[in-house]
Amino acid sequence: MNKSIVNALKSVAVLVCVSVVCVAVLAVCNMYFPKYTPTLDRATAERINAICPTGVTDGEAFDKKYIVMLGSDDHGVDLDKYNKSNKSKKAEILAVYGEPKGENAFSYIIESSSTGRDGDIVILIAYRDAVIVGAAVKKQGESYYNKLPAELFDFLTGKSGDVDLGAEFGKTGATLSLNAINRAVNLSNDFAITYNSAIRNSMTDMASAAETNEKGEAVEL
Amino acid sequence: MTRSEFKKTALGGITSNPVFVLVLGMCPTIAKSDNVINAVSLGLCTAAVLILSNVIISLLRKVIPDKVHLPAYIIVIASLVTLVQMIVSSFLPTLNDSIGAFISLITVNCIILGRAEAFAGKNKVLPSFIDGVSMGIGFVLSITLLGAVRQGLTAAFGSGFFDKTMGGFIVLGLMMALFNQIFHIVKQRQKHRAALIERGEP
Amino acid sequence: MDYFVGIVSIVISGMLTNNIVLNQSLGICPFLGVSKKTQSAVGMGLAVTFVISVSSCVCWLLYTFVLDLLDIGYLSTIAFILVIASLVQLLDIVLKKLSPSLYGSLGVYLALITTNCAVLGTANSVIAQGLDFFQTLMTGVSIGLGFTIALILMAGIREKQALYDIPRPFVGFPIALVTAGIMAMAFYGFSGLSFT
Repeated sequence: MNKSIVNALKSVAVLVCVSVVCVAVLAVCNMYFPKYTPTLDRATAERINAICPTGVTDGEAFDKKYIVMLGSDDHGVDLDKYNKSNKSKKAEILAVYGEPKGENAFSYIIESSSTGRDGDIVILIAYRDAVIVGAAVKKQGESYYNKLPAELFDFLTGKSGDVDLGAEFGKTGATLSLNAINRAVNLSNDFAITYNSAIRNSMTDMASAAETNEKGEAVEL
Repeated sequence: MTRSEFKKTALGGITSNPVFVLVLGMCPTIAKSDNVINAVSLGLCTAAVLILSNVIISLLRKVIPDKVHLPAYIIVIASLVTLVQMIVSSFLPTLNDSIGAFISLITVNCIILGRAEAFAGKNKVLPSFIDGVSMGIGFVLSITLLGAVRQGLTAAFGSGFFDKTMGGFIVLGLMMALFNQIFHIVKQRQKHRAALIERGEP
Repeated sequence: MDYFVGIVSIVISGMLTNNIVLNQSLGICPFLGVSKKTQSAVGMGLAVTFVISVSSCVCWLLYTFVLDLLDIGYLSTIAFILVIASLVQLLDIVLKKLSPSLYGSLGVYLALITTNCAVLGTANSVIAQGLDFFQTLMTGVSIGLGFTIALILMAGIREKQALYDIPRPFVGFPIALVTAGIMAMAFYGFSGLSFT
C-alpha cells in the first residue's frame, strides 16, 4: 500500500479513537452526575409570600410550613418527563410549591426558567385554579433588565393560558429578556392548566392529613 | 529538566503573562471581570482546563500525527470544557448562573490552544504540567486583579460604566499601560546596573 | 407582520444595539489583532460574517435534527467547534483557489477564526434562544455585519492614530483598548433604541 494512504488512514484512526474516548467519558459523566434540583429556601419562601401572601410573616410561613415544596410523590407529575416532551418550547419547569394553608390556601407556585440574553431567567408564578394571582422574578443576570416595563409582572395577574408579552409591551429594548420571560410564563401556564387538579388534590390531601394528625395528638393529650 | 529550564517554565505565567504580555484570551477577561467572584471562578475553570489539556496533549504528543494535531487538540479541549461545564452545572448551580455561558467559550480561549501548540505538543508531561500551572496562575491572578479593580471602581462610582464592556476595555487598557511602564522601568534599572558592573563600579 | 418586525429587531440588535464586540465583549482577539489596516479589516470582517452565518445555520440544523433528537445535547460544544473548524478549513481552501490576493492579506488570521469566540458564542446563543431557521440565519448575518462594522471603524481610527505621537506606555495594545472602550461608550448609546 502507498505510504501516504497509510499515513492518512493512521491520522483518521487516531482522530476517531480520540473522539470516541472523549465522547465515552462524557457520556458516562452525563449519566452519573446528579441533575441540579432546586429546594425551598428562606429567600424563595419570602418571594412567594410576597406574590401570594399566606397571611403570616415570612419566617413563620417557612418554619410552620405554610409554604411547602411539592414533589412528584405529592402530585404524581414527572417534571423531567414533562420538560422533555416540551423541549421545543425552550423553557423548563423547575419546581412546584404549594400553600396548603393560610390566607391563600390551595394556591400553588410554579418555578420556571428560560434563557435570556445573558443566562437563565428564573421566575415564580402563583396560581389559583390555573389563573395567575401573582408573579415575580427569582433570578436573572440580564444586562438590560431595567429596560423591561415595571408593570410587566402586574400585567400577568388574572391571566391564564397563552399570553403574548411581546405584543403587549412592544419593543422594550430588552427583547431577548422579554422573550425568555414570555416562554417561561407560557410553559408555566400550560403546566398549570394541565395539572391543576393533581396539584390541588395533593394539597387537600396534605391539609386533611395535617388535620387528622392534630386531632390524633389532641386525643393523646 | 535542568534548574534554569524549570525556573523559566515556572515563571512563564509572570514573564509572559497571558493577559498583560501575550494579550491572549481577551474575551472572558473583559466580559467576566466585572466582579471578583466571577473573575476568580472563571479564571479557575480556565486554569483547570489548561492544566488538564496540557497534560493530556503532552501524553498524546507521540500518538497524534502532525497533520491532524489541531483537530485532535480541539476535540480534547472541547471535551475537557464540557466536563467542567457538567461539574459546575451539577454541583455549583449558583456559579453556573453567573458564568455558565462563558464556560463553553473556554474552548476557544486562545491561551489553551496556544499553550498546547507552543508547549505541550513538544514537551514531556512534567514540564507541560508546570507550564499549565504557571500559565493558569498567571491568568487567574490577572483576571482577578482586573475584577478587583473594576469592582472597586463600580462600588466607588456606581454601576453602569465600570461593570459594562466599555469600562472593561478602558480599565484593562490603562492597567496594561501601567504594567508596560513598570516593565520599562525595571528593564532600565537592570540595564543601568549591568552598565555599572561593566565599568567596575559596584 | 409581527414576524417581520421581529426580524428587523434581530438585525438592528445584531448590528448595533447588541454589537458582538463592543457590547457583548466577544471576538476581541481578532478585533484588536486585525484592525491595523482598513483593507484587511474588510476582508476579515467578511470572512467572519460568512463563517458566523453558515456555522450558526449548520449548528442549528445539527442540534435540532441530531443532538436534540438523540438527547445528547451535552456534546454540543464538541460538535459545534468541529463544524466551525471544518468551515474555516473549507474557506481556507476556497479562498486560496479563488482569490489568492485576499488569501495573502488575511494570512494567519484566517486560521484564527476558529478560535474567535464570536462564532461559537453566536452558535450557542441561537440554540439557547430557541430561534427558528430563518431567524438563525438573520442573526448570524447581522452579528457578522456588526463585527465587520466594529472592525472597520476601529481600523479607520487606528490608521489615523498611527500618525500621532502616543505616550510610550500606551503604544500598541493599551491605546487600542482605550479606543475600543470609547467606541463601546458610543455604541452603548444605541441601546436606548426602541421602536414600537
